[in-house]
Amino acid sequence: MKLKGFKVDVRKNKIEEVFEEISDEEYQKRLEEAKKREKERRIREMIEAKKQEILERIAIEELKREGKL
Amino acid sequence: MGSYTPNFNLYKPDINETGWGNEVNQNFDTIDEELTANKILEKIKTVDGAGSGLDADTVDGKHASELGGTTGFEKVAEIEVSSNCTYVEFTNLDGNSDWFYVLFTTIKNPTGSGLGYNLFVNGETVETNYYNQWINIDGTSRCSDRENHPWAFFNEAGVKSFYEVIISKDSDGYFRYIGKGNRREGNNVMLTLTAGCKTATISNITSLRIQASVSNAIGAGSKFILFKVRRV
Repeated sequence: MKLKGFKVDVRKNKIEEVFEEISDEEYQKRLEEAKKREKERRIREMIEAKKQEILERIAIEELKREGKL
Repeated sequence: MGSYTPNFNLYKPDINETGWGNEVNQNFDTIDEELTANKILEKIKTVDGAGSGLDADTVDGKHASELGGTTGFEKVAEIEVSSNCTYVEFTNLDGNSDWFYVLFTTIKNPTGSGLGYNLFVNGETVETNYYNQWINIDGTSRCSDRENHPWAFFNEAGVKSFYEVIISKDSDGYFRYIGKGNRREGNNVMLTLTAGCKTATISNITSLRIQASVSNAIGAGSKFILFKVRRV
């Protein structure tokens, strides 16, 4: 697997297109890890959104019960 | 017999004098020679300085070299990615001299999956040698976590974002960054804050690499511009 990159040499003010070779196996491993992390973030965000929704509903009910809404 | 002016030594004929045509022509030549830009500059320099009302090569009496970092950011390098790629690396940096860097970026994720973009230092691309703490604010929902990798940016599938990241090495040698981002569009716009740190110390910052966790996830048109804050 070739990873394409751009190298910017700040001293020479030169931009070069470069390729970094890694084994397919290594790339697959990285990819799986990245997918796992992305999924974990997505789940974390869904949980937090749900928590917020539940808290908001309870807060509204409480405020209504207290006659403030 | 006439007299001569004190500065340019121009001849002033006496009121009753005749035959002074040659002297007048000499006066014109003298004036012509003295009114060149270089001669005028030399003359101004003889009166320039503090309190002169001119003091032309200083600001408040100080030369540029004396103003230090107060004159603003200095661009180190920039790149607009011409075709999809996996990473962009700034090399030949000298963090010990520059102290702090500021990176501005707009990144497009052209792939079909959500992914993170690592910020690696000095070619150290082992993700688990870094930690990052992030918080997303999405409408009224806030979400945060700490993870064992240096994702400085994150984009969902097909999403574009804008980030500003301040990068440095602290006084004990820990590589650190803190970033703020604006991602997604219209009524889905989201605020992201992120802070990262390396697990071991470094002696300098010599390179910075922004690397997508999926190949070719830095889309064509993505832009990166790196500044240093300190002028030396």
